[in-house]
Amino acid sequence: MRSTDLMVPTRFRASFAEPGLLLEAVKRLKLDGYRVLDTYTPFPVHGMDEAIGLKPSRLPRACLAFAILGLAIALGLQIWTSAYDYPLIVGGKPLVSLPAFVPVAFELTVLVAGLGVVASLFVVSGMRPKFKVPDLHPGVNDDRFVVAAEIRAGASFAVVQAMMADLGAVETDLLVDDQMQKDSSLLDREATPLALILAFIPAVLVLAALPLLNRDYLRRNAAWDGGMMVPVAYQSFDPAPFLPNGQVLQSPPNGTVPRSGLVPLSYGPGKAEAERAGRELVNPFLPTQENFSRGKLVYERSCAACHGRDGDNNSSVIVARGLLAPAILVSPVVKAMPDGHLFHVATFGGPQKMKGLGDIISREDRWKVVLYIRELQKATTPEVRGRSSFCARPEHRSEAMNPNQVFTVPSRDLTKPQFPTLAEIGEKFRLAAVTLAVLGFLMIVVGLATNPVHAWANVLITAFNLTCVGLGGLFLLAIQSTTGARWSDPILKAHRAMPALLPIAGLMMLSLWFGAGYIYPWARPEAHADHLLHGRLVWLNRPFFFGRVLIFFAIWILMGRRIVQHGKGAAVFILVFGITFAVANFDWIMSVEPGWYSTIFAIYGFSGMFLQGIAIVTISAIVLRRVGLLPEISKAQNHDLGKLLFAFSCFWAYIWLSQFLLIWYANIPEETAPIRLMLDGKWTPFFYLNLVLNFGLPFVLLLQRKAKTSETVLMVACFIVLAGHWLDLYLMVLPPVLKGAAPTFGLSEAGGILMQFGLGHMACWPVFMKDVNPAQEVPQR
Amino acid sequence: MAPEAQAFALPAEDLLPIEERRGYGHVLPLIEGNKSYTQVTEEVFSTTEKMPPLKWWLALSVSFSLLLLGAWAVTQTVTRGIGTWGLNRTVGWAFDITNFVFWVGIGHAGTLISAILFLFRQRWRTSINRAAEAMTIFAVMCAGMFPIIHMGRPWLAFWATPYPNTRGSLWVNFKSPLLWDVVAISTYFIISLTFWYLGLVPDLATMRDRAKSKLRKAIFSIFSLGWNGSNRTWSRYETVYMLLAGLSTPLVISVHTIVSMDFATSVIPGWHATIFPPYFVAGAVFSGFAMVLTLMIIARKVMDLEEYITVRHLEAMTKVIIATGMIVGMAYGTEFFMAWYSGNSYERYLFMNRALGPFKWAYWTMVSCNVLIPQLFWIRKVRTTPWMIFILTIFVNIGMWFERFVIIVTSLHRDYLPSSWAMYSPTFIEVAIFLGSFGLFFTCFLIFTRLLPIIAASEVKGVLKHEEH
Repeated sequence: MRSTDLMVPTRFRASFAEPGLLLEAVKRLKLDGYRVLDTYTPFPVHGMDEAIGLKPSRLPRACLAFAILGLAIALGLQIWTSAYDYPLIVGGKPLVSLPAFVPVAFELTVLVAGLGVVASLFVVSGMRPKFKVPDLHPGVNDDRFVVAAEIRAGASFAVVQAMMADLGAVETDLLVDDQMQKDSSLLDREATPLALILAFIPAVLVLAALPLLNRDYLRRNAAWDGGMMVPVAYQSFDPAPFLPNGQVLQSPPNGTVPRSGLVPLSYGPGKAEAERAGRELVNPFLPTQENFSRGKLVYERSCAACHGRDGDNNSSVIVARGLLAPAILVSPVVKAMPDGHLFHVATFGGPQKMKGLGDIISREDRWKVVLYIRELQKATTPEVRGRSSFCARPEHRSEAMNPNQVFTVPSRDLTKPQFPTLAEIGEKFRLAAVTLAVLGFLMIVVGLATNPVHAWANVLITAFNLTCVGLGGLFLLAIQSTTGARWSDPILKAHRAMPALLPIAGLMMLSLWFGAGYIYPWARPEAHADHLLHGRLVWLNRPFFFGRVLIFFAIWILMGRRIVQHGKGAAVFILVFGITFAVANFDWIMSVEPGWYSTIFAIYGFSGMFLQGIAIVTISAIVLRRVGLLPEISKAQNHDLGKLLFAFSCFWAYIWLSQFLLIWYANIPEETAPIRLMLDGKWTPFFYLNLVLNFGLPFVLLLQRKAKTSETVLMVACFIVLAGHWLDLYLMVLPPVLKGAAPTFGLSEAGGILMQFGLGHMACWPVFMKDVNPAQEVPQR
Repeated sequence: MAPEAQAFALPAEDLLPIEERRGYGHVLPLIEGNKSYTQVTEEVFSTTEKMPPLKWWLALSVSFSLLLLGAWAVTQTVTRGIGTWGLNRTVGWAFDITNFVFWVGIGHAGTLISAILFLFRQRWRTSINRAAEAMTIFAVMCAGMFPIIHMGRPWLAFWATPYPNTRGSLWVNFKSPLLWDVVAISTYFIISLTFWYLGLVPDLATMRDRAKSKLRKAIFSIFSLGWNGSNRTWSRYETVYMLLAGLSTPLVISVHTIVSMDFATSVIPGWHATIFPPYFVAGAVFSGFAMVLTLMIIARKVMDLEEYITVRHLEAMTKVIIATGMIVGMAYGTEFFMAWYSGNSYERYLFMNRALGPFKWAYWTMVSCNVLIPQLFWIRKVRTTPWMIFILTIFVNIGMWFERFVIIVTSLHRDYLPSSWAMYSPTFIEVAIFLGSFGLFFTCFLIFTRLLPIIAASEVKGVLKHEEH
């Protein structure tokens, strides 16, 4: 520093027996203007970095750089080898199958990042095998805490010695030059990680160049090239541009007489021809019992798969899978069609997706099927059952309702520290909350009147989400109390208020009794006839289902009260919660599509619930600190919450991937149906948005340490997670309920979201007030 | 207490007196015996400098004999072929893969203790993490052995790695879970070894400083990388240690996830279940902690480390065992329920067959050892009595081995085609290889306990006078 005029600065060392004494000595030396070179201790002494004035290391950045490098290597290697250098179709999967590349990509990312950052440490700190270590003090690796410093200009060694002795030094003496280890100056310390990464580049280049040098790459192995890879066999309905009608399946040449001896039909395909057939043709068969039975048989074999056994799409396989929405045969439109028209459609195909079945079903049978359809139409009243995307009613949209607007309202208002007293805040927000809740309720009511399917689905989402909030708070509290963790003591108040939502959520769940038929296929009267559901109705039936709902809520509310008020029973609660929450997930959400099942589903639900719980606790902690209600919350707690949010966002992604990857990989038809529904249709953007909101954005936002302590970043991440959880639930419930119709955001969705905010505040605020308001008594045991 | 302060009282604060009565937190120090720093150094390092006692040699001779038995059995397998095993076309994975999954599971506790507990600032980990990490490394070594000998031609094992070769365009199949396994296990081994070594460096420096002979000094000079306790180095070292812990946490989860995918990506009833990844991870933690406890209870007794590995450490670990054991039990229940709920007759048959079929003895061993017996840990007396913990953890080890056996063998021995139905029983060679893996594990562990400090002295010193807050 400034002490280097003519004389060489003299260095000294002082050793202490306790880290605390050393820390005090360093602080004192700095205060007195000494230059502290370094300290040497048997273990890291906390607070020393600040005392000496060391900046935080930049090694985390090196780690990130290495991680990106590892990811790039892994993805590059996998895509290049699997899709370009050695394109081998495995298990019917695409050549570039990103889900299958995730595991190796992850492992190599960790490997390169871990080895890279350790190598960086070794280089930066000059750690390498050394036979002669500068002998600063024999006890630094045992029980001595040593400081090395330069004597300040004007001070003598005797002064220093006296000062050190005063501070509790065991010994103080002058340092010989070679006792100090010189900091590695071969490479600039901070530039080293970069240099290490650069060192990797030749290796990567060589690897990349290998295929170019390899002659085989230019003259590919014939066995894997071209024809062998693509199956030559064409399917009947494949396009074939070189054939006259553009498809593989050809019509028989003109004048061909079928072997059954029938005269060819004098009709061609198309709507006009169909109408002509309707005018001209009459069903040659009479509705006798025999003809009717034959028609029934053929119908059930060839038609029921798509149109449903009763012609109303209800037991339709493809509708249940959400793949297509065939015409409802019992609808008035089809009823009005003449027999000839139906016969023509059965022969040549319909105006939309239906293929002609003239080559498969004989002419007599087609006429008999028409007979049977007429019988079906007589037997049904379409108004009750007409529930299909084919004749879906227009959705009620509200342009003003944008989820983001709703989401930002409380944060914007709450974060302004201009509300001085608790009572005022409570009043202000209670009014707002009541308004939101009432508005939301009205919207749902309107929704129920206009589009009950949609509205009931949103009641389910809202009730489930409120349950998640309540249970999330309770679960965090229980974990807290069983593990004896103390870091979150100050924010316990927010946890303690959240379970107040459970009774409201329970009532909403119970109200589904009246709407169960709209969203749960097993609750419909015709479920008894559905062989897919057969045998499961023992479990999935209204009394038992809602009995379980009632019991679960009773357990949660009672046990929750015990934990919140007396701090007891947390371990037992966790156990009971595990079982009840799992069953609740299977029941309430998974049974929306009763044919589909996934054993991880409850854990998936849990991961979302927990992530949302952390987000809500974080939001309330920050908001309440800003308005001065939780003064004891510190930056460290923000950092902890940030870490939790980050970790559980990753956990959610892990569970999501486990479910998706396994279903995608095994490719079992009944398992893939709901996912295919989202990947094939208009739901695709939302499928990916779900990942981005729950994992992608929080991961990127919270990766840095600095970001985890920033309240703004945390707030943004939390609201993203809240939106993500809502979307996640929406994607679990709506696609199967709507049977493949496009996603909509209507009155019911907006109402559900408003109600969540309104009810959330109305239920939790009074409990919270009780906790923080010194005027009121805290319940004592 | 002022009335206002009383009104602010939180439940956690109410809990404190209860906790104190129970013996947590403020009352029990992490390290007993009120030791000084020198005393820690002396007690931890002196074991590595003395001639081992007779009981150590006895233990080594037993485990080394087992290792030799295993080596003989592996030689038989390699020279005579896989036909020396009891496998058949239907049950193509059995004892061998059971052992593989068993050992990988054991290997999970080490990194978990080092990394996750480090991130959660659970300071009780300090006196057990070194030994647990060593266990991880040896367990992964044992695990890695099994798939390699299962290949039948283990000298071609390197074919499982992607390397540029002269056979035209020929690469490994990156879409295969078996290849994911190769990458995951190797990564896990390398990172665990790095993590372990990094944690050892400060202690190696102490050993270098204490070394009397020239050779010893030279060896430890090489491995301690010129460590001199400088604060600048400590500061970066701690950063890197935390980064490695952060990387290891998802890594340890990914490894058993990928192992579970060896099964779950298939379409075999009993294997294809989406719950497998988290269920396997919980099972791995469960078995790993049990094994750590088994070893620690022996080690603290034999090596007089009761003051370092206190009852408090043991109790904390038994709680992890109850928690993970319950998760495993939940997974059993979920699988059963879902098999019924699915309405899939193959699934239903498989699970009925597990519980009531020819391997029902294995199934019920698994359930009683993993779900029923660990419930005894709810009793505080059991949690704080080392010999009781020891017995229970042995049960857990047995139960978790049987879990893998049940998953693998019962799912395979009843194929979709009844004509392919078969039974499985291991041959002596297979059992010998399994015993040999224990020999390998304990031989390595015993050598480790005498070669290196099994307590992380630099970390223990840091918490010696640590006030819990």
